[in-house]
Amino acid sequence: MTDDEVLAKLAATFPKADKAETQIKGILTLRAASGDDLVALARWLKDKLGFDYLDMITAVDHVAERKAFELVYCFTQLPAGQRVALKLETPDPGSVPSLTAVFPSADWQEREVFDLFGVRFQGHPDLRKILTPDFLEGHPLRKDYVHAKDRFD
Amino acid sequence: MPELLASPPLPSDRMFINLGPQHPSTHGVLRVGLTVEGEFIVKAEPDVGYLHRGIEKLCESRTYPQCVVLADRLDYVSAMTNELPFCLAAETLLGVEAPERAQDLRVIVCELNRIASHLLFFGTYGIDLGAFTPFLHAFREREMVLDLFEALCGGRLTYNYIRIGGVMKDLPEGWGDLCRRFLTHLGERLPEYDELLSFNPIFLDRTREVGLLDRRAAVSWGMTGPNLRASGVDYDLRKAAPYCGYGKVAFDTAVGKRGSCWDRYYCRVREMAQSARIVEQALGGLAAGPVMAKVPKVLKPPPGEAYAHVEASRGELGVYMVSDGGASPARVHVRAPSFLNLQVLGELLVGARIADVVAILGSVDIVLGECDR
Repeated sequence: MTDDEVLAKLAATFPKADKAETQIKGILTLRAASGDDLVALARWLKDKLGFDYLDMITAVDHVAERKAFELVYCFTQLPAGQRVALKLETPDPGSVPSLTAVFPSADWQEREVFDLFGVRFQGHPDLRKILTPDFLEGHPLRKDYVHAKDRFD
Repeated sequence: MPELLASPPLPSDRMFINLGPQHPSTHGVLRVGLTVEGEFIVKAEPDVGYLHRGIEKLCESRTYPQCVVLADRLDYVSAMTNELPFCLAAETLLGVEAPERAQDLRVIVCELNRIASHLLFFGTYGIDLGAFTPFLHAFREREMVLDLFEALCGGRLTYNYIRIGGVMKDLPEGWGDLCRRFLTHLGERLPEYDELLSFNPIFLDRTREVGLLDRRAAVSWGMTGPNLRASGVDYDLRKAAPYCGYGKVAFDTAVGKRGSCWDRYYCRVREMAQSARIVEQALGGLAAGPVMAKVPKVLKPPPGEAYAHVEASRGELGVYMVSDGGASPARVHVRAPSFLNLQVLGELLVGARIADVVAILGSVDIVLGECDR
């Protein structure tokens, strides 16, 4: 399926969604209008277009410029390997719906984003820290994170 | 007197067993909280993060070439394949392409590294299941790969050989012959591995019906690499979206049928032979020319985003890189295959026997340095 075909189908099903302003080079990057749209879009990509593999979830801190986090999702069509990325902005402190009901593999990746950015995922079955130690306060990948000295310094 | 000999029914209360983080078969510092009922596992909770070094955060305060050095520290048993996506992502941002010879050299070193990594898996998986001898055989061969790397770039574990725009330097004199000698040696040894371990009846009993993961579950849990292929999904990034010089070489993907521990194991063993095939072809068709593209001394890619993927030893390794025009990346995210592969453990272990935990854990082949980043 070409990128144009994906875009044409997208325009017919989700009139509010569109191409993202900043594209990931070489990967068609879409933008979800809202959190509700995100889950519907992900489900649509999986069930209707065959992007059945959740490749990654991550976030980018844009708090300094526009007081928001940008969530980045990437989906793959197996076994052809075509990819499509999906972006969603959420105002700081971020809160977006979880994709765990659609893709079980979202579980740990959402926990990671929560741990490192503080973005909350509504409907996640077990939203706990995953990588940083329990005693660590704050979310290290935020640009405004200041490291407090601990017993390892 | 049968009633005297009959033992009282064994209590099967729920019990919590802590596996790791310091345990020889967790392949690093992984902790798994197991809840068992008698012999069977009813709940398994992998606990990761013991090796978290904040590499993604560190990248934000380092220059692009310095990030590649950090990449070596992710999956430290196949560092070459870790450097590659960092370089590919930075090259995409810069709009540079490595010269053809460098692309071929990248294929050679990555495949050699895959062999070294799978050899480590082969050896340690045998040990996990009580077979010590295969380990010695595997390390003999792995040593030869490390010697080749040492002759090439001076490093045995962390190389910093693949650079943004190409590779560090060309092959030293006579390296190609040394490499071919190793490939011949490996080709003779691989059938021995099958005799030693792959078709050993005890080993088969321990792995063939254990840790079954069907195709659907493997995809929905985000498995990649040999773990995904063992479940019958013929997806290999080297074929699906060839990068560097992979478009020029012929090889077969190793695909399993049922996604058992043995399938995952044997996919890797078969991949070693295919990697050797790739190296042989790449050495034969090595393009002439420079090994480094013209890149500025100080790298300041224009603002933009790139997401580069490679088929690493453990699965699909992706690097998402955001540039804001400065000398350091604004954001680097590593899509680590071990992190995603490990997630499935919570499901895979439920219903298994305690004795099979290590067999299942070992077959997923994780490296915690990459998982925790």
